[in-house]
Amino acid sequence: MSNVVELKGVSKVFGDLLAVDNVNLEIKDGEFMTFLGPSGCGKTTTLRLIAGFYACDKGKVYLNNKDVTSVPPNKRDTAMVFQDYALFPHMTVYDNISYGLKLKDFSKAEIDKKVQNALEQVQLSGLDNRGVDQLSGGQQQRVAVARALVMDPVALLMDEPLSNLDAKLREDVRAELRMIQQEVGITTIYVTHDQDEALTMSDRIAVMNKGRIEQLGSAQEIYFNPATRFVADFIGTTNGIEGEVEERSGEKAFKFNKGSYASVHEDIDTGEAFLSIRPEFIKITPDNTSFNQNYDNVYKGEIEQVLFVGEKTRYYVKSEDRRWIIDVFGEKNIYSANTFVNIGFNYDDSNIIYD
Amino acid sequence: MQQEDIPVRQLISEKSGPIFELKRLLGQPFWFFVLLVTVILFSLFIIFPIINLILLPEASDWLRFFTSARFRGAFQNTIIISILSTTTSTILGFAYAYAMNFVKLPGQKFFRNIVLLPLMSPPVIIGLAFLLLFGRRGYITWNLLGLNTNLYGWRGLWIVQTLTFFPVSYITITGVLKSISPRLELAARNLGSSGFHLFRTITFPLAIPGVISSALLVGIMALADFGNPMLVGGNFNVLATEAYVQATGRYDMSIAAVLSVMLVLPTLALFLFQKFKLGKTSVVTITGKPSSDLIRYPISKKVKALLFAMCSALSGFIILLYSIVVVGAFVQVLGVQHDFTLSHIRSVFIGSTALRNSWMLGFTAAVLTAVLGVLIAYLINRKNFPGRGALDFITLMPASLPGTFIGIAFILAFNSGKIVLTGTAVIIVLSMTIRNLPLGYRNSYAALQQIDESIEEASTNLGGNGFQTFTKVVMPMLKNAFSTSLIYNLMKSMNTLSAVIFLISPRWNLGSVQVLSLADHGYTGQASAMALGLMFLIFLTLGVAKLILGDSVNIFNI
Repeated sequence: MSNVVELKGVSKVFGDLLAVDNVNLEIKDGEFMTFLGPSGCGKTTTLRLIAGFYACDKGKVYLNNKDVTSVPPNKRDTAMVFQDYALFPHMTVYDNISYGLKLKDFSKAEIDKKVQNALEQVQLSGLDNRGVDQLSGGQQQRVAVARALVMDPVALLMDEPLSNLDAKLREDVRAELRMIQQEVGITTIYVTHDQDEALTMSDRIAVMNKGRIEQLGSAQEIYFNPATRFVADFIGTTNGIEGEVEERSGEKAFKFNKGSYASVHEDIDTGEAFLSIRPEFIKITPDNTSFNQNYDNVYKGEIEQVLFVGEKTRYYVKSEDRRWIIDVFGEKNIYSANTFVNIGFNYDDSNIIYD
Repeated sequence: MQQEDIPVRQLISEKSGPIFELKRLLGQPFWFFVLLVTVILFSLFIIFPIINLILLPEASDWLRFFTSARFRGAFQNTIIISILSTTTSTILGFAYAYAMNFVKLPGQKFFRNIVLLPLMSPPVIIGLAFLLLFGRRGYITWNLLGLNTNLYGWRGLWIVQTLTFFPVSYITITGVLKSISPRLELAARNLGSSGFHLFRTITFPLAIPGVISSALLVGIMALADFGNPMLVGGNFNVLATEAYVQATGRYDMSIAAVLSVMLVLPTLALFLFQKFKLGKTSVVTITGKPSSDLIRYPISKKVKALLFAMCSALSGFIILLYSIVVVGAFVQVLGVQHDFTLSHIRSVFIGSTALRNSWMLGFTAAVLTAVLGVLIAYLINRKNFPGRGALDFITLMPASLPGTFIGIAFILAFNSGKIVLTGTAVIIVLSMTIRNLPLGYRNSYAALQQIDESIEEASTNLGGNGFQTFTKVVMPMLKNAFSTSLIYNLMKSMNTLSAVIFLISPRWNLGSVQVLSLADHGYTGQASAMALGLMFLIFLTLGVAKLILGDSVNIFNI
C-alpha cells in the first residue's frame, strides 16, 4: 500500500510559538488516522498544513507522493469538514454540495449524479432544495461531509467535526462516519481532543503534545502500552507512579514512595521511571482472602471514597502512602468507604515508562 | 514514535514579514490587482491633493493668518461654536436616545422616525428653514410677531447646528445604549440600587465611552459645517465659510489653503483621539443586536414626563422646520405673497439639471464607494500585506477632513498640471467617493467580521480561487451590508455641499449647492423647492430599494 499523505520534518511557527515541531508521518491508502491531543498541541495546525491553509516553515508535505508544499490550498486535492461545518449560508443543500464540482467544470448531468450519490451516502436524499439554515445540527454535519466526499479527494480532512453535536448524537454519528469511511475506502485524517472518538474510530492514532507526535499506533497500542508519560496520562485514566527501577536482592523491582516496591519484568532497564497501571487492571478485595497468590503486587489499603458511576464503581484507595484509582466493572456488591482491603495487579498489565 | 531531540527550535523561524506577505498576495492575482489599484487611487486622489495643498502657502501666507484679526477670529469662532453645538447636541442626543431605548413613551415610534428626517435630508435644509422662520423677513419673527430682529449670528447658528447634529448624537448613542444589557440594571436593582443612583452608577458609566466617541464625531461635523454658517452665520464667520469666501470671492488660494489647514488641525486631532484612544466604537450604521429581550424597569413618572416634553418639543420643532420648507416651495414668496404656485417646483424639476446631476453623480459615487469599500475592507480584514495598517488609516482619514479642505485640495490639485479635472463630473464623483469611503469601508468591515473565515476556507478547499471565493461566497453574504452602504452613500453624496461647492461648473451644477445659492440670493421659494426635490429623490430611491431588496435595507439600523 502506498502512502497517500506524507509529512517530512514539517514545522510551523507562529511568532515565538513552535506550533508544529518536526513532524514525520506516513498515512496509507484508506487509512483512518486520528490526530489526538489537548488544545494547542498542534493537531489542527498539522491538518491545516496538509490542507494548505498554512505554509510550512520547514519540511515537506506530499499527497500521492507528489510534493505539494508550495501548492495553494485551492489546488490541493484535499477536502475538509470544518468544526462549525462552514456551510455556505446563502445556498441550498444541493448548491453547497455541488459548489466544488461546478468550479471543476463537470457537466450538469455528472454533477447531478455525484450530488445524489453523496446525499445517499449521508442519508439526506430528498433534502436537495432545503436551505442549510433549515437543517438540524446533525443534518448540517452530514451536508458538510457530503460536500467533501463528492470531491473524491485524495484525503478527507476532518477538524473536530463532532464537537458541535450533543453527546448522544455524537456517538451515533461516530459509528456512521466510520462506516461511510470504510464503505468509500477514503483516506481520512481526523482531528479531535476526544479520546473516545479517537479510540473507537481510528486505524491509527497520533497522540500529539506541544507540536510533536508523542506516540503513533493503533488504539490498543496507545491505550495498553503508552510510550510516554503524557500519553499514559492523556488517554483514559491511569495510576501514574513516579519511582525508580533498581536491583533488589538480585531481582529488578520498581521502587516508589521511598520504601514501597512493585515487581517488574526482569529484562527492563534500571533508572528513574514512571509506572502506569490502569484503574480497571487493579483488583480489590476485603483483606481476609487468599488473594495474594494470584497477583504479582499486592498491597494493604483502606477505601477512602466510593463513586458509583453505573457500569462501574470507582474506588479511591489509600495504600502505600498514595491514592490509587481502582475501577470495578460488573459487580453489584459494592464496598463502603473506610473498608480495609487488599489491592493487587500483575506487572504484565502495567507499563514502565522512561522519559 | 519518539522523535530525536534536534534543536530545531533555533533553526526555524516563521516565514513572515513583508516579503513573504507580498509573495503570498502575488499568488492571488485578483487581490494583488485590487491592492495596486487602491494604492494608485489613494496616491492620486488623497495623498497628492493633501500634500499639494499643505505645500502651497508660503511663510508670508501663514504670517497673514496669524496677524489678521479677521482670520484669527474665524478660527476662534469655529472652535467656540463647535464646542457649544457639540455640547448641546450630545446632551439632547443622549436624552433622546435614553427616552427612545430605556423608557416607554406614548408616540415613541413617531419620535423615532421624525428624528431621522434631518439625517436623510440635505443638512442645509435646516438652515434654510430657520431663515424662513426667523430671518430678516422670517415668518415668525416678522409676520407673526412683527419683530424687526433676527437670529443671524452665533445664537442662530448654535440653534441650527444643535438641531442638525443632535440626531447624529441620538443615532450613535442609541447604538451604545442598546449594547448595555438590561441584566446589569436588574443586577444593580437586585443589590438595592434604583432611580438616579442606578443611572449614575451603572447606565451612565457604561455609556460614557460611546458618548465621548459620539461627541467627537459631532465635533468633527460641527467644525466642518459649511452650509449652516453660510446661511445663518451672518457676520459670525467661521473657517469653512472664510476659506470659501477667500477662494471663490477673492481667488486668494494661498490663504484659503492656510485656512483649510487650520480647519483640519482640530478635526484631525479629534479623529486621531477617537481612533487611537477610544478604539472603534462609533459610526452610524454598525449592526448591533439588542443584547436581550428583558424588559426594563419603568422609571419615575416625573422623569418620564420631562423626557416626553423634550421629545415633543424637538420633534415639533423639526416638523415646523420641514413644514415651512414645504410651504415655502408652494407659495409665491413666503412672508410676502402667499398665493399657491407650482412655478418653483417646475423650475426645479424641469428648468434645471441640478437634481438630475445630483442623483446621477451621487449614484455613481455611491456605487464606486460601496465597491471600493467592500474590496478594501476584505483586503484589510482578510489578507496580510505590507502597509496594511497604513491603508486602513488612509481609508478612514477622509472622515476627519472637512469638505472645505477636500474641495480646495481638489481644485488646487486638478486645476492644472498632469491631470486636469476641474469642471468635469469626474472630479465631483471622486470627491464624493473619497469623502464617503470611510463609512462604506467601515460598514463592510463590520459585516465581514460577522462572517466566519472558515466559510471562505471551505470555498478555497473546494477549489475556489481568491476571485471565485469572493464573488460566489463572500459577496452574496455581504449583500445586505453592500446595498445598505450603497443607499447610505447615495444619500450622503446627494446631500453633500462643502466640498462640491468648489467643484461644480455651469455644466455640472448640483441640487445641494443650488439650495444654498438660491437661498443666499433671496430666492427662498426655489431654494425650498430644490431642497424638497432632493428629499423626494432620496426617499424615492430608498423606497425603490426597499421594494427590490426588502427590509434588509435598514440604513440606520434602529
